[in-house]
Amino acid sequence: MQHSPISEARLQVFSSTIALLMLLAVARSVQVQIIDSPRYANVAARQQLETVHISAPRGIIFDRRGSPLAVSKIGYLLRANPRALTDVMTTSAVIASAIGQPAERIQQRLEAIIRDQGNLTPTLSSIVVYNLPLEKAIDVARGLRQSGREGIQIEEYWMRVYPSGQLAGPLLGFVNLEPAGYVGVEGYYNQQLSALVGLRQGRAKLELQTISPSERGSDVILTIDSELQNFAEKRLQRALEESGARSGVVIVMETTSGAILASASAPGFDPNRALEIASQGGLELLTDPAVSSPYEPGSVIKPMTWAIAIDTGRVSATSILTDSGRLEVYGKRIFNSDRQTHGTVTVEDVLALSLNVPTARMAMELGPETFYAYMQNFGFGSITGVDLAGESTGVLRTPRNVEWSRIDLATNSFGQGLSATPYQVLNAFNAIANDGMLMQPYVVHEWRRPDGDNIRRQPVQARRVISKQTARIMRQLLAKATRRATPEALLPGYPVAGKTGTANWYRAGVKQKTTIVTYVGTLPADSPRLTILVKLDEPTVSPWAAVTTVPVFRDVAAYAVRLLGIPPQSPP
Amino acid sequence: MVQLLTELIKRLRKTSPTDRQVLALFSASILLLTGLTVMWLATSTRSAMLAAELEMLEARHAQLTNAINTLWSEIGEITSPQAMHERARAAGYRPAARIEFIGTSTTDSSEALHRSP
Repeated sequence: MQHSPISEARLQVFSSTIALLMLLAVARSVQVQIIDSPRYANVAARQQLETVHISAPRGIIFDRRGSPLAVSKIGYLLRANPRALTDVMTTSAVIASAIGQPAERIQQRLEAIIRDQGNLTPTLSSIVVYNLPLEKAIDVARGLRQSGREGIQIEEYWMRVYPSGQLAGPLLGFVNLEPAGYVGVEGYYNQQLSALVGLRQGRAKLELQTISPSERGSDVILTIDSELQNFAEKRLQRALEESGARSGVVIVMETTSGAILASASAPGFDPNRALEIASQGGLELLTDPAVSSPYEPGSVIKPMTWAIAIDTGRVSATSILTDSGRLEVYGKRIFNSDRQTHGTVTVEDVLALSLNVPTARMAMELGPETFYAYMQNFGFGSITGVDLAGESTGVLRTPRNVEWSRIDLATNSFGQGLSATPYQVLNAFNAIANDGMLMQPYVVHEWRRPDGDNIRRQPVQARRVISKQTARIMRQLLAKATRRATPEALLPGYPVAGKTGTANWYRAGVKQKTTIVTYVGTLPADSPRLTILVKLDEPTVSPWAAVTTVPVFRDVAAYAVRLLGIPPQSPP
Repeated sequence: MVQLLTELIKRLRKTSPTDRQVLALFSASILLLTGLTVMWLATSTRSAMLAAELEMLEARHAQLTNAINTLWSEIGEITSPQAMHERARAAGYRPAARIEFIGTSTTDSSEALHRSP
């Protein structure tokens, strides 16, 4: 049989094609099996792997006496799947009757979720209800099964509970459903308090699984004394009612260590209800003004100005000064608050009568470099470093700022034209109480890791601001001034060194008729153990600190010395 | 059964050595395969049992942690200053009107101790 030349050529083409295809197949299989093998293996593993997250609770927050203030318990939440929801009305009714809430509220929530999920970028969480106990979750599940309604998923999670309710709410902060901490201790120590989520991974239960264990969060122990905190909060609340003030702060600090024993802010909030408050648009209420709201402190700054004057040797405790009653600085007139001229005065007189003019004159003599260097050392214009989330720096303009003018030097000396948080004012005054050493305030003194390791915090000395001698002179002067000007602050047997401060309230930059009043003091003045700040915003009964804040200081101080067993220095 | 096995061995003896070797190889492979299958099943069962036990322990651990935390929460409620005050007042306690401090000296008391017979 003879082969035609055409058919021979065809055969060669056919064979070459087959060979090429085979080569391609081999090349492709080498690519898939060898070159891209890890990628395909990874994709396959991901498709086949089952991953289970193992959650653990956040750490517990205890007060200094070991009483728990924040605990995590198992709770349940209901999540809606809008695509599977068919009968919103019946579903709402079933959930409402199981959890004891109005059906309209549940229905509104479900309808809002459905509407939102229809958008291109949904913004609303699909959570319908949270913080349900086991019994109610069972009731919901039973009700939904009996009614045959779908589209609601029940999830278990660790919910945060604050057993003492509103007590120390702003200081503790709150936790969302993630759970992540916000504000206060929960916010600052979120990393330590957070649990390590464990994982269990495997293709099937018949194969060995990879397990990374979960770990509960570290427990933290506060310096806060619940008893004192409770008293401070109640006394502050009473002060708001009696004075007509809108809000207020009371902070009690251990002088030598900087440990915060109580930190009350009113109106506070119940951290158990924080998410509800936030969802109702009250996010601005969920802050701690003691640490995050700077204000114009007023005359409580005068002790710092005079401490600078004594420390730099400009004056001594016995120096005689002249009060002209009026001072003109770059076209602005400064008067004493009583609009009087006092003539020859001592530093004690200046502090007792809270005279603006000699204080401003002294600041001008000191000069901006010295004055602001000291003020910055006192901690103004920078955070105190207290372990609470959201601390503000306040505003202290210095000659380096373009907005600064020489009038600022004069007004800053008596606490106007600058802003500071209550913690900054307290901490600066505490430097005088603590023999000139500025401490770093703190609220957590220990945290206990789940592996049993305890980390205890030691008091931190930030820096020396003034000499020991200057601090002692200032305390003596302030103690004498307190006896003369605000004897209401005194406790039998406990000499008090303190200072009042009154400043105007500003709303949207406009000066209001109302005031912000502060009293900061330390006791016993000879060897201080406690430094206490009381601040009230816009009291209506009196614009003066001596009338409104001093009684609060006295009551809190009396309770604190009793509770902490601080003996009197002299027989009462 | 014994007769069947005896008959099988007799027949095997009659076959050629090559056939016997093939059969032996085949039987050994089957035995090895069976052994491996049994081992795999045993390991898988053990894994499944361990996985189930692990899940159960995790659930138990979560339950116990929850029980502990629930107790802490109850302790927190009971020891909250508000609750303590209410109970103390209900029991008839009132804050002291005045606290007396007694001045003591450690030196004096140690001397007194030394002096005591």
